[in-house]
Amino acid sequence: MNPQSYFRGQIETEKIILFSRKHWLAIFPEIVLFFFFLGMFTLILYAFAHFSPTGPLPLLFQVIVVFLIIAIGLLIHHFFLRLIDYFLNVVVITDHRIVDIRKTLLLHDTKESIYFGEIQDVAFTQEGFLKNVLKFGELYITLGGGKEIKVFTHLPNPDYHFRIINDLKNKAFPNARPAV
Amino acid sequence: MTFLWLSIAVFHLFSVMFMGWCLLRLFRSLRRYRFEENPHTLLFGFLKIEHVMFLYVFFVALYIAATTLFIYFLAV
Repeated sequence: MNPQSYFRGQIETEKIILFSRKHWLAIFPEIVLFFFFLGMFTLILYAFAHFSPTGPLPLLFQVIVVFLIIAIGLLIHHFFLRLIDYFLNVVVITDHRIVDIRKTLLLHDTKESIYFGEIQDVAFTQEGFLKNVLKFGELYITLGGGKEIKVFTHLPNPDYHFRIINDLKNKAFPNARPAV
Repeated sequence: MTFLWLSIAVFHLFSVMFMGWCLLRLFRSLRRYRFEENPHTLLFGFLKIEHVMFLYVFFVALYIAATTLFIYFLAV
């Protein structure tokens, strides 16, 4: 076992081959929205300060300022929690299985394992201009009997993952699909 | 002005406590999951989770300082 890499629930003899997170484009809209709303709320606060009445501030004015300041605070916490969640969600490929760790800091903790013996077919798509330029796409794993398809979205370099999974599957089950 | 100061002080306190609790949970989680990072796994190829944690603390500190100064100048 590589002492530098480990995850909770790892089998003692299991070796991590690679792990990956979603492509940065998956979190990019959140980043843009965060700076947009932060800028907007800051501008509104600035306008309030500029046009504030002289003398003691009216209660309604104070309530609006408090509301705006709290909104900025909630925005910052929400954004950073989303950013942290991005780092916690990983797909781990070991020499035994594929482990999909879907975890958030406060709400979810889900772990799903797909052993190579369960995999019937692997496919990937990289459709569209952005996906081809930025090299990300979807990886589809068809499980036994073709009843269930597991999809990994926004996966960076899906071709590489596709080849690694196929290699590991063929190593684990060399006679699973005989040559025609 | 007391209402303004009191509300913001309570929210700032809540913010710092919430951030501390989140970072504590994150530290615990990172102890259980450790992976060797490379440019393909980092956000934009260079941002580590430690950078995000630092930015979180920085933004909350900046937010508290800026809003406190804002209310101070509003009151003057």
